[in-house]
Amino acid sequence: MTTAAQALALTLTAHGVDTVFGIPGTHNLAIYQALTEAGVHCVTTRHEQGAGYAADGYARATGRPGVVLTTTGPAVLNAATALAQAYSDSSPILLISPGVPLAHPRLGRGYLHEAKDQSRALDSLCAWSHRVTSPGELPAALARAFTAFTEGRPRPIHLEIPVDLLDLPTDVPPASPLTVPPRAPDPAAVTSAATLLGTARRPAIVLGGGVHHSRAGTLALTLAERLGAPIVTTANGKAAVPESHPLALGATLHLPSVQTWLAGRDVVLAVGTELAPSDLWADDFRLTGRLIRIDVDPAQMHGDHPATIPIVADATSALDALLAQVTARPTPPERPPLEPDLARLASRWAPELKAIRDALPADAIVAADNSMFCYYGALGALPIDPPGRFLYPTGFGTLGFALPAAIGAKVARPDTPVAVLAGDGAFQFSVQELATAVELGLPIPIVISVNGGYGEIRAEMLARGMAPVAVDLHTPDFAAVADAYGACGVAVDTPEQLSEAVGKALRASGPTVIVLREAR
Amino acid sequence: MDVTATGASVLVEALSLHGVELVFGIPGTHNVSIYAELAARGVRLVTPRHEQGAGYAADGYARATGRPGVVLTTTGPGVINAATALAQAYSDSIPMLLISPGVPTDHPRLGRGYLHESKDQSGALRALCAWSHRVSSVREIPAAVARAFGFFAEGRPRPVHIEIPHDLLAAEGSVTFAEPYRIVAREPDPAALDAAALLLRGAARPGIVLGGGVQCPPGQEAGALALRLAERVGARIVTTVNGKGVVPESHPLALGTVLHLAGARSWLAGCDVVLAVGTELGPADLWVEDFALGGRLIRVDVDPGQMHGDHVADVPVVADAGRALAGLLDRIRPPDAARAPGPDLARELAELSRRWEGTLDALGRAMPPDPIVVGDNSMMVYHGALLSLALDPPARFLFPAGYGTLGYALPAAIGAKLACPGRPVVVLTGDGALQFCLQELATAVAEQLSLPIVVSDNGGYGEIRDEMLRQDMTPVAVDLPGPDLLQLAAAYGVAACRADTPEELFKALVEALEHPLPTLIVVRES
Repeated sequence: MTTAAQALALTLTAHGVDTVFGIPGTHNLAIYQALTEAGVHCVTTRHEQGAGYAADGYARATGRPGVVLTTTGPAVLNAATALAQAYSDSSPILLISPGVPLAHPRLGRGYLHEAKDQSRALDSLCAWSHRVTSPGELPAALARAFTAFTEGRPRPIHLEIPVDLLDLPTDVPPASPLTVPPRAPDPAAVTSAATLLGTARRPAIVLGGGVHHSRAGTLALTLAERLGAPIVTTANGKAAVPESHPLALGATLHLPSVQTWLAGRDVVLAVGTELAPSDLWADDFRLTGRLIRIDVDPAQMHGDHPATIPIVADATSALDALLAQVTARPTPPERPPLEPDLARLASRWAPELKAIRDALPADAIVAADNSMFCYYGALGALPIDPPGRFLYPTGFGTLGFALPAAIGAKVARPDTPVAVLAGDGAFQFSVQELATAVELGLPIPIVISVNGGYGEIRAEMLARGMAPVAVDLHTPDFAAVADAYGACGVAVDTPEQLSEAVGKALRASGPTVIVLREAR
Repeated sequence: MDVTATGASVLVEALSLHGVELVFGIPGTHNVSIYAELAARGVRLVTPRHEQGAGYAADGYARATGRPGVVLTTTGPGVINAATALAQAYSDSIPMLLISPGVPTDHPRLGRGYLHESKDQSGALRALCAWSHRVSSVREIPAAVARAFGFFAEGRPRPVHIEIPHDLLAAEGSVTFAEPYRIVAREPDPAALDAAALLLRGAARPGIVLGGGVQCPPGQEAGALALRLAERVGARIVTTVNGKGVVPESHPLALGTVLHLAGARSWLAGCDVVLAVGTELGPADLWVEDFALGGRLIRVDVDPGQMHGDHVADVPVVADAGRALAGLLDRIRPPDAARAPGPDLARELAELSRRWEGTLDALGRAMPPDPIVVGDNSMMVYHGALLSLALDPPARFLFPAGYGTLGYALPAAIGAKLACPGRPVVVLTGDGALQFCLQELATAVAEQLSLPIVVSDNGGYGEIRDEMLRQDMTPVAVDLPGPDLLQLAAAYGVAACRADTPEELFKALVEALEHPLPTLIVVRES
């Protein structure tokens, strides 16, 4: 006999969960108690949005599901933006929350933390949201969630437990994990694809976040070498292959020169990517050649870019099968002239990015926010090699992601150097998580490029011919903010100082905020 | 007459027709054209540092004025960041309008990885607001805006979301602007009033409960009518948190905001007739789930949904509070009845708020007349100020009841102060709650608001720590090393000081009220 809360904790640990991100509240104490008894590390953030992003960073850094625990109501919605971000970036996150009691009237009664319809709100943002109706259902619901993360495209899931169930006894045992083998490709589709690739004169490969999830980067690189095909990645696919490799074009799918080049390829192999407008930064991109798509999500075979040869499969299994049939062909690779595009976007931060690159080890994890410094700069111009990662909120495009995501990544992989890149606008969305990083003693360099507000939007306003409004913000003294949190704060003016500060921060006993003043 | 204009221009014209002068929000790629139109019309644009702050600020603005608070976000994360504030406004019946762009008109519902795309943005907001509507043409925009403002006036006000596919903002359409209409408050059923009056006149031990519905809209003086009625029937008045200060808490018949005290509840249960006006009598008001009344219950509420549920009305009066109370006063003539007995709450009151006694006493002494006190969901506030800080109208107490969010007070105070620049506004919060929204310190400075922010620092989540200890569990995840709040304030350009004694607090608050900018005052809890 266990309580429902204990069955929950035991099922989580059986599924390898050793860390949970969240904030305790009146409704979830029984879960905290059970998790503590089960030896799970409970990381407390200062806002549940931070817990959500931290779980996302944890998931991206490890490939394992990130688990968030909140109380009912405001806490659930506080985490909602992070779940929607995870939805668009296919990150496996499980949000566990209590909900109103089992007998609660759907019409409402003014119960503490009551919303109009908590589950439905979450169901509109996650892959699914499920409210259990008995303690015995809990292990099954958890097992279902963990299986969903492995059987196909991983996306966030919400599990709601009526608060009055948590202390009830149950004799249903905790669920054990199921092993779901990765989906193998249709052999006929693989043969067609291999034939097509064998005859391609100007092949290209596009890699997305699905390649990270399947750990298929090495296979993709081998295939590229065999075909003489350059590889371009999306933001989510960045560093799936070494960006220092001669065939790697980097995370440059958003550059017009790369798109023109890609449109002119006779065969394109796209793996684990939506080829979405938010990857391309364009609404109307069209390919002219044949398109082979490999994706665990059947939905990706249609839409904007229908597959000529659809392969619904795990990336590793599919690439493995392709390699068995594709022989080496010395096609001289034909690279796009992307340097002018890249320089146009990134030159403003070139010395700083080089300084950061010099100070970071090759396998570092870089958590980047949705800031100009990151998407114009680091995305294309800060090369990263595996097993390094670039954690970035693509698709949904939230702000305030980088610091909490870095906390999650560092908690998951304490021996890997983790750095944050953010703008001042983005950083302020989650500034309170400095306290979390300090409490955990995480040596994270946090580089903040300060342009005094929402620089991207200011530029858009100027481009429309309007006087900028609501974008030039009073900003705090970030180095002093860092001091106040017990973190280290330092302002730097030159690339040398920046490089030195990042290097020092990696060896510190806690986080360091490095303030980089941008010229307007 | 038809006018041809872009969607953004039509939207802003429709908002102006409804008297919108101030909008809280953050600009983004999808809503820049709305910003351009708002700026061109001279609408004041207040930019917080997180859309959650925009939502709470709009809530504070709405509570302080009775007028709808308007929030403008971009698509996606901007919308969901504001969601908690909308759900809070839903539970506290606050009129709030969230306007956001959405994916373009022809966007496939299956998704395509468009910037800021989510599974179902409207669906999520529909589950949290009174309603969420996505317009499908420029022509529909004025109608949707008018519908929102009409909705706020016709019944129980609750938040509304209007989503405009962002391609419509630049598209031109031919539209007709409807004249804003006035909706007259709902009159009560005379027969129901007769029945209610009969009950009240014959009551030996009457009691009155007033909720947030008596507060709004301000200027209707439903509170004053309620007090006159109380005097006439000799009934004591207890208020919910949302009803705090609706009648003078210094009045002999006013028990204060004590509905959550056991003594008040047992007194109320023993009343032979209870008149409940504009309140859910919800578990979140009562702090217990199983409260039952012993006498007959008259309920006055604009929301028919309140006539049933936990406390079924014997005499249901579905009407505007002011109209119903005026109707009752017409039926219950002088002279005033003798005062019915009330509860003795002194011991319970003292026990609950002892921990903050000195602090609250100093706050009470330093508080200027008619303040707007904005409290967060912190122990010093709901165990302390709620009870011990007596307020008389037109003073207000803004507090996130029902939904019970954290991080409400600072941004809500920013909204209230912008709405009522001439009134003193004071924030009461704890260190745990403040950290949820502390980035809004920058907004308070940018808007140059005179705003005392009193922080009671207990080093984390004190309420939850206490609950863990009561359940014999070792406190976990509740003792949080926080920032040095004084240094932090300084980093934001906010004046700050510590107040170690009640006298220091008194002095600090008096000075902060004179200071033209925000002041953070840190009180260390023992």
